[in-house]
Amino acid sequence: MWQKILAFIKRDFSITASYRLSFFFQFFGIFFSVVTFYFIAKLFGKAAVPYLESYGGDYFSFVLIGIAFSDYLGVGLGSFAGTIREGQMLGTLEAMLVTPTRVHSIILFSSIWQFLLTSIRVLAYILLGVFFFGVSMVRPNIPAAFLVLILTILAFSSLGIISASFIMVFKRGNPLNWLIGSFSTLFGGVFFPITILPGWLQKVSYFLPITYSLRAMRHALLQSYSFQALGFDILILALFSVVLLPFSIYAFKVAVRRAKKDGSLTHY
Amino acid sequence: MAYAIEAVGLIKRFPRRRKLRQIARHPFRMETITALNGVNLQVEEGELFGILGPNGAGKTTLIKLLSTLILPDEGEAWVSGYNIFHDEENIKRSIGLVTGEERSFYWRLSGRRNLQFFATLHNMSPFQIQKRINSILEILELQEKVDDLFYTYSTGIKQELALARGLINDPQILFIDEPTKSLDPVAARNIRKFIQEKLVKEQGKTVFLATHNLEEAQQICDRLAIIDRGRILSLGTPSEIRRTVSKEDRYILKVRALSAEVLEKIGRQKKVAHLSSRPDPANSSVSILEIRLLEYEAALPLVIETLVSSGAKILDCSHFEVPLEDIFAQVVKRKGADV
Repeated sequence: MWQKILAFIKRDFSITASYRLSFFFQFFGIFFSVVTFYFIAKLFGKAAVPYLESYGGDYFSFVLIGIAFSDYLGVGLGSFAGTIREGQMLGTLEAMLVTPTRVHSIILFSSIWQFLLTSIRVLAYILLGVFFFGVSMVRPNIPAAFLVLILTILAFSSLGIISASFIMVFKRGNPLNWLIGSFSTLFGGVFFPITILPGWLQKVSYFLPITYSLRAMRHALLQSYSFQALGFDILILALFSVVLLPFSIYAFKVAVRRAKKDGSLTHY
Repeated sequence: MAYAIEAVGLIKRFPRRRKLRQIARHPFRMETITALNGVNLQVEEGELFGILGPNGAGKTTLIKLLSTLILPDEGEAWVSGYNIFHDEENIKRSIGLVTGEERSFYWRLSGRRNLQFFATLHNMSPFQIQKRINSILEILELQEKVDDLFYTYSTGIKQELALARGLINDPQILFIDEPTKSLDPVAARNIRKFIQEKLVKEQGKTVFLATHNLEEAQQICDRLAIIDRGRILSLGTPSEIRRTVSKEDRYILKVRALSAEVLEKIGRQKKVAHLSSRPDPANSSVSILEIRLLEYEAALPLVIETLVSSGAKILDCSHFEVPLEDIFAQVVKRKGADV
């Protein structure tokens, strides 16, 4: 298994690195994004403090974590479906599917590079923020943040696998990505704390895994919350994973069987 | 007796895409296209079996079905003794698939990197991969080009790399889908020679070759199945298939000193279906005989003996088979009308 994972990472890294300009420009994009929010945070000044007390009161630190880690949502939702669609369009999916490696392994391993690249981008966001824009992370609870990250990836990936199942059968017009992506960005606390929303809209937030993910991540990194203090958010994320992951795997198996019956496994 | 490939009653239908107007009128009606309609065949181990048919006949669908990319609606099949419904993984371990689809590679990787990647998916160790790749590159003479990026390759090299990938796990059975369709005549001939001599004769592999190239099918296949509109119309060796359409063999002989009596004697022989003679325009003392024989193995020696014993001199004897295009057209027309 590890040999295969390495083979997928090598493949994807080689292809990514071959598009050299694109590879470097994404880091310029990170820089400009960070700078933009830095000055937006300056504009708010102390006005946002009442809403951000539990996160230390600083809007820039708050939003930096939000935009950095919401990248995982995008990758989790999009990478599995993207792998299938790309494989179908490139024609490489068929060549992979005639090997003994199972299709769910192919999809999973194909997404690892995207998650690795996202982790590099997140690290870039945080390092920029800490070393150049004054973000304060005194004694961050790294192990807790790591656990939150793993559960976050599991939860988002489950949604992504369900999304991939849709693409497998219907090829395009995946509503899941759009729905969850849009709702998560608006109601998940990416750019502003959910406490700013009217009470009835906050209820929507509680159904989204990103809400708990970002809250826990901010508390772990910015406020050094202990495992115990993060217990509720960790539990909810674990529940999301426990419920969604098996369902997503089942949905994917059904989708693959349906596509084989239709003969559209490699169509796009 | 265990066959390398066996198919029984395979049926495959695909949903037909309907226009919005049709969906509005009959929202729940399902329309289908039948790609395979009751396909039965057996392929023996070590055989080069051809599936010959026009575009849209069902050749690629059959190959995809046998390589477990598609599930049939009815019927069953076994590949290397494994059932396509229950033993998918075992089948994939024992087969290789070669398509003419150059899109199925990563264009931004080198040929070697592509091969290494796909070899890993076959659960091969790094040592096995290196050894196997080097061995295949030597056989296909690809060592020079293999470290260049795939998108720089000519069509011929791309097809050879597809063959290399199909062979990477040293499969016992190879499914090859139109390997020469985009190749120039020389490259096509090399690929055919490689398949027939190296893979089948030397290595004893079973090759299931889909093609619409009649000459290719005739040249290299041990047995053929002619398929059209999802049905097998004829199955056998090229000679056997020829026999189903035409039981005669045609010969042209150039003969000197041929008398009318000898000509009449030959014409009366039992197995001579047709006999005609005309003078050779280049040399009036030479006659050109066209003879059509039934059961040529017995009839031809008799004809030659008759000529020789009469004192005639046979200057040339050529065998003309009924062109396979004619055979194919007649099989499709005849069996298509029966369907």
